[in-house]
Amino acid sequence: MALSALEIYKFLPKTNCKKCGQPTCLAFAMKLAAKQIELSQCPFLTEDAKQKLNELSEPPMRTVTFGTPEKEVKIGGDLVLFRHEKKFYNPTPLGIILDSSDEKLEEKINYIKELRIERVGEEFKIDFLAIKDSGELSQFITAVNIISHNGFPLILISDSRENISSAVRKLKGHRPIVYYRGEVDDIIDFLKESDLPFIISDTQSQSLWKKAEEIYNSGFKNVILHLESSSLNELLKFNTIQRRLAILKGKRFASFPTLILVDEEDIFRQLALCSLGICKYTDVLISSCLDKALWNALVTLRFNIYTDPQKPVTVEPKVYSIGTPSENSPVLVTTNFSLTYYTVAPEIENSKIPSYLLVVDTEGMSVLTAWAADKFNEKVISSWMERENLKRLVNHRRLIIPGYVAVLSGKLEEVTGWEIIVGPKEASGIPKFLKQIWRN
Amino acid sequence: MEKLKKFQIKFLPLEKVVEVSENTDILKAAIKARINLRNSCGGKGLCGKCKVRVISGKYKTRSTFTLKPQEIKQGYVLACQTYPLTDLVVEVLPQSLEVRPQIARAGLGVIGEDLLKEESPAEGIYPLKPIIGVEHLRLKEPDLENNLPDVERIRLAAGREFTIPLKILERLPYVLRESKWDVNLTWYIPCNYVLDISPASSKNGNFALACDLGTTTVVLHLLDLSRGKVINTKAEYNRQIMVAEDVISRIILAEEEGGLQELKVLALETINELIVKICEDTDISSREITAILIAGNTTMLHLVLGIPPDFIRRYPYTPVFKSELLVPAQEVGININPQGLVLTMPGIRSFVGSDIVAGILASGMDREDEVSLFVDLGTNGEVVLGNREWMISCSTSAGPCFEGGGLTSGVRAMAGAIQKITIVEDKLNFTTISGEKPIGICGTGIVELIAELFVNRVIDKSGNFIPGSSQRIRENEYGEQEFVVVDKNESGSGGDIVITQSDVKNLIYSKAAIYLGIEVLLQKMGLNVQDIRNIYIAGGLGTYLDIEKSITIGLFPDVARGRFKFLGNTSIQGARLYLCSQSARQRAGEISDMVTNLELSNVPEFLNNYSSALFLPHTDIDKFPSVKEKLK
Repeated sequence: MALSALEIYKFLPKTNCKKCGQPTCLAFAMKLAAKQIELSQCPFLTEDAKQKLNELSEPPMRTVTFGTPEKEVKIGGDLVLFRHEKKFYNPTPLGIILDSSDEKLEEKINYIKELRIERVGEEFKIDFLAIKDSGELSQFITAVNIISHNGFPLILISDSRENISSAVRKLKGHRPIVYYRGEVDDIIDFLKESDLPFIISDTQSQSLWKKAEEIYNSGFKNVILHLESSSLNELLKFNTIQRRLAILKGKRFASFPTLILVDEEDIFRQLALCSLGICKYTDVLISSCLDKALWNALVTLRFNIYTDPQKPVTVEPKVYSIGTPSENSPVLVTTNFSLTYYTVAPEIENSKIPSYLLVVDTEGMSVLTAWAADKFNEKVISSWMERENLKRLVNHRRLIIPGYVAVLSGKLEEVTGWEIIVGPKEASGIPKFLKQIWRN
Repeated sequence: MEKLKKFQIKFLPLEKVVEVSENTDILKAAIKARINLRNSCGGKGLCGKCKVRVISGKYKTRSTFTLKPQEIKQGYVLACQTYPLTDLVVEVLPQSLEVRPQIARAGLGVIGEDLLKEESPAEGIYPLKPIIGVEHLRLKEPDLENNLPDVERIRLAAGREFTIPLKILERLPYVLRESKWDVNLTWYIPCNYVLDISPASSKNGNFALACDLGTTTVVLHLLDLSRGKVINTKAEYNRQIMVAEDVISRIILAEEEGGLQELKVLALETINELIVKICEDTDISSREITAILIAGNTTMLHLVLGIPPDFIRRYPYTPVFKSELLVPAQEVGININPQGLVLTMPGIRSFVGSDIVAGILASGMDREDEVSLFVDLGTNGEVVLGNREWMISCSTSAGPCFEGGGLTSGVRAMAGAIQKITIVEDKLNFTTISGEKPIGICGTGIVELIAELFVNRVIDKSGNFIPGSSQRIRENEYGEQEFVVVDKNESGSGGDIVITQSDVKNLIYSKAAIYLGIEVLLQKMGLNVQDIRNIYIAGGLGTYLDIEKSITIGLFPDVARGRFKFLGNTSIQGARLYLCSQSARQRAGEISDMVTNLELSNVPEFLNNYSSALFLPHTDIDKFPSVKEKLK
């Protein structure tokens, strides 16, 4: 169960000794509650307190890792039911399932390797591959070899205990996920010994949880649950209940991450199932689809779901054209806090006067905040004016600044040589203001 | 070089005359004449508050930015933009004049005797044991058998070791002999540091000053520490207002060349002038005052000592100091006993200063088992939550609304300011401070006005005027909706007193900031409003605030009204405790270290909480059950 700062505080020495690097014990408790500091940083915890805090502060959702020596993939680890409460951690890794008997296996791997998706300046690739054993050991080993040579983390799917253990031996230094398709009990010794994460599955949610509880009680921590279903309704139900059991009820057996495996002919059904998984709590996603269109959509969706909703969202600092401005159009300046931009820009649009809006980088602060923190001053503005070459853009030398930073006008005029016009304080005043002052 | 021409400027109705050179603007002339003209943009011609009327003489004016055409015709000018070309006679308008502040205290009325008795909840908790000691020493006259040095003689008689500064040693041999070895020794007990050795006959008490150095107001209490009593009280606007109104503007000014020195001098002038008045009133000489303890926000403490405040406003917002500083009065430039001490009260962080430590101390919340909330309402709203075991604070930027700033007809709490308002069926009743003709609306008045407009459904929960809801709504010359509170024919300022659509929004921003601070602290600690036993409201405004109406607009949480306690100026109360009791001083140091300060910019929930508080009273009406009931 997640602990509140006040609950943690009760166990701390309350001396405010600052040895942990925090100014007070309460500050330490708040950091610990937010998982931003290690318990061991406090040098004066009694053993008793340590043990209790450790027990109590176990995360509601376990984090399971797998990967290659070069690339570690984290699964699970979420703390909240809803994204806006904090944020979702560890974006759902996306993987493609291949069959070891596939004649075009190598070709497909090369294709997947080149599958790159770009999204606001970031590049994404398929995170891992799942290889399904056709039963033939040599084929399976060859496939595993090719995949690992190409640097993909692996999920090994097989109903042969021997094939799995041979593949694991080949993958020295790697940490694959084991998906044994038989009864887990048959392979339990191997799993215990190898300490690899593994998947347990069932077609019924109730019996899957029952299995999970047994596995949890026998001491396994790195387990992933797979509900074998292709019903949207069942998957949504299972994932939601699972997450609620973990976070609201503190059920430990429900702390295991979940997986979906989508193998559908129809690409839209593929998309529906995968999207559901990404939106609602699936921690690992495997699909049989090779179509880039699907992955494009999924990567975009995942990107949006897993951004931190509480970081100030910024817009790109640059000159924005609103309408089709000319060299005679007004130039306004504001900050790159997205809320500011999206308040100002529509009001300029409302004025029906085509304009340039210079957005300067204030690290996502609004106008007054940025001014107070010295991030929206004459130097910053003039350097962005240079950078965006405003002089070339317009043939006048007049700049409209937000009314709240009227005090900047004098200095800005000195530094830039432009005539500074103080605009309205509130964006709502822009249409009227622009119509009045920009009659030429 | 041609010599600058000099002109005389006469200010009416004050009948003050100054001579200034032709390149001096009227605002500077007024400062020279010691007339406190209002001004919040630092003389840049933007705020329009220094409006005056030139009755006779020629002048040139640079900008008439905020003036209306007919005003310009009538000779109105912005003092900060206007220079004399001949001798001038200038009329100072009542609303352009800073007047003596209303000193916060319990209940309404005029400043009087009972102010001296104003007590804080923590009064009586801390035993009277001042941090400055005065001891009467009768030394043995030296002779040939006992010719120990003067200093040893004092140590022996007092039975203590002391640090004696050179300045005192320079006069010591004469003082001892002239007083016939009968002296009073005054020392700062925590450091055994000597502040004064003077003839026993010259001093009748243990006098020290407690100073609340506010951004807007400076309050001084003269204390007789031996009795723990306030002997005299004076308050004045902080002169720094003349050059920059708010904390951030002052930091920016301090970064300019000469700016820090200018601000320091203005703060010192304010304090020194109050000291002169106190001394005149009480017949106590400034030499007899051996210490002044200053409580105030962190920036003010930096400025008065001339310590650069530059990094207070920059990430990660680090002040130079927060603990108690000791500086000889002479070195600072405060006119008490030159060897006396200027002490600063310990603070917390850049935006939660020693006035808040003083407030916590005075409220006594640091000694209670139950959780209390402390709110200091001002331009910066500081909020503290906690009990004897833990405390957490934050500072929220509320803007100048609560002090009457940033509003079309806003004024500070001065005579003629509207402070109580009721509306019944579009009939508006109000009372002003001192009962004078209304000149504007002060912070408490604005809170009441918004609450009344809301309850009477003149504005909706987003703060927008509801069309057709009142005869008083009209469109102003800027095309904005406004509500007329007082017609110009009935006002004391000659202009309409109004509240515009953006004024309403402004107040909503301000109240949301305070409520947000309270809510974020509660959330961080996993508590809810019902867990709060006492809500202590400090600050000048707090005393006069109508609690019911404050809850109606969602400034404070909707809890039992009996939990609210108005404490008045807790900064000065805490400073007093600090001087009068060594254990209070120690406790203040502990509070300064134990309060965990939360930088709201570092709190991810900030934005969500803030946007949901931008409604009357809140987007979630169920948080305000009594308001919900009222609106039915």
